[in-house]
Amino acid sequence: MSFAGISGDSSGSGEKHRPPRHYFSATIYSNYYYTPRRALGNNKLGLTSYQFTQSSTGFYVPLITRDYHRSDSTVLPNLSILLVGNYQASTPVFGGLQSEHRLTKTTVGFRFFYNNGKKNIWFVNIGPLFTQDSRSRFDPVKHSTFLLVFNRTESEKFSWRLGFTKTFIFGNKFHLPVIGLRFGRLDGTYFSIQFPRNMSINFPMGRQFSGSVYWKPMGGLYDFANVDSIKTSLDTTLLYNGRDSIVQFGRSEFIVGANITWSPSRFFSCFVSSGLTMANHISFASYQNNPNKFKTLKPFYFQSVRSSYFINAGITIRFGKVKKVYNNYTMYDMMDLNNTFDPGDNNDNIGNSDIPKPGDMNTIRKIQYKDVEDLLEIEDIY
Amino acid sequence: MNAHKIIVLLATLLIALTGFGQQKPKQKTKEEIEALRVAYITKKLSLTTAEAQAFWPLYNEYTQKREDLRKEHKLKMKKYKESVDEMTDADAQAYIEAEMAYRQKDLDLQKDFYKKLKAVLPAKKIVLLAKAEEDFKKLILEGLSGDKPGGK
Repeated sequence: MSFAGISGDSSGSGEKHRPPRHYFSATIYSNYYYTPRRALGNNKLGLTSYQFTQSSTGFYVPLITRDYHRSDSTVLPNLSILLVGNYQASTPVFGGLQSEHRLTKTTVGFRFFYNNGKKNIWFVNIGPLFTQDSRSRFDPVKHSTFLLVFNRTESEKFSWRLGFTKTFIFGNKFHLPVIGLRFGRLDGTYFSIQFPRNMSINFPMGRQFSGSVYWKPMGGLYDFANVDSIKTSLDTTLLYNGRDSIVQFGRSEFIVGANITWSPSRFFSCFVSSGLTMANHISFASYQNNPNKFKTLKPFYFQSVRSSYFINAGITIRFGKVKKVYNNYTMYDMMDLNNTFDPGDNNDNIGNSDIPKPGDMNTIRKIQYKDVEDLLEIEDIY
Repeated sequence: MNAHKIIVLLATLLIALTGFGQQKPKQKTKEEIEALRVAYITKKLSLTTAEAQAFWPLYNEYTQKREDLRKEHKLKMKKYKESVDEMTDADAQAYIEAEMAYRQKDLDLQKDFYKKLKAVLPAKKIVLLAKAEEDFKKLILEGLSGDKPGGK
């Protein structure tokens, strides 16, 4: 007989051990997106150039995690409810407008995951968006997004998704199906198409780095104060000569880029990516002329914008211990769902660095006794 | 991108790197060992897709429960270990009973796990799992003794 207590870790704090309760870590993330100034072609508003930058900060906090398995069952269903939020500040700079508009978008909502313990996950995200323009003191305008996705993990190398979303990432109001396919392991190399969010090839680069080549839409719909006077060849007018004090500014581009993510630990990752923007466009739409909240907006101004390079960089920080999910492919898909569909409807890159990395045999060479004393019993030595 | 934003971005990155980038070495190595053990078992068991889908959630749950039990036990026993020589008979009796209770709980967890495993894996693979866990411990011990596995 051995007394594990006597041979135990003398560095113990004496506090009560608190086992992890959730599958998701409390997470904050922040990223910055930049595109340079570009000249605009002839247009009826007399705008001469356009540049766009945005910064976004968001969080996830697990509120409730329930495991529903019975002691005599081999199936482990679970439910996770997360509180999510995001604050985005965007700055479109137009040559020809008198002032700079800083457009903000704030969302706080909830997301629900139900994993049936086999292959199926249901995912729902609800939460209002509040948009505002610093140029005007109008109250925040409430919009809503919605997401429902069914995920089926057929194997570690293949999963598919179907669902429905209301989204603004194409610079307008759209109700779209969600269709997703993934080929390859989420903790290895994989190819993923997640309409309308992204298409990517992802690959590990050693223990701490991973890379991806991707295509995705970037955009949004924002409230824009109708306060600027514009000088045209005939007259001086407001941006929109109607009764609207606020108009809706839409922007959209498709970006093709390469990304490198550094994840030195489960608690921290950062990324930098760059590439080209394509099919850029901007638009302005009147509230008065688009009274139906469910219909796609008809803009009074629509302008294509030249392609450019972009820079996108960000960090993700995770807190606390989580329950083990090694090689649990359905749980990996649950984490990927959480990271693919960011809370702010901004299509931000959060990354899958919360999915455990596969083991590397070289680690054994670096092991010290103190690293494994908790894992060994005295009998193991005989 | 103006200078102010670049400075804010870099400062945030720096704070994050210094504050959160590095886990405690011991914690990090433990996580790596855990990942390594999983990789080792994956290789030795050659699970089919269906087996893997049922096995890994059970295994994760089982190892999590054992780890929690072990940590809780260590904290409980900490009060004894610094004064073994001065223990009263009553303390020693309480100590032995706590130790036995811990071992019984651990055995119950193992029994429960193997009962569940029988429903998802053939008996031979359950034996292979036990052997893989033992072999992995040996690998670790060889590593500690300086006879590093995998060659130099």
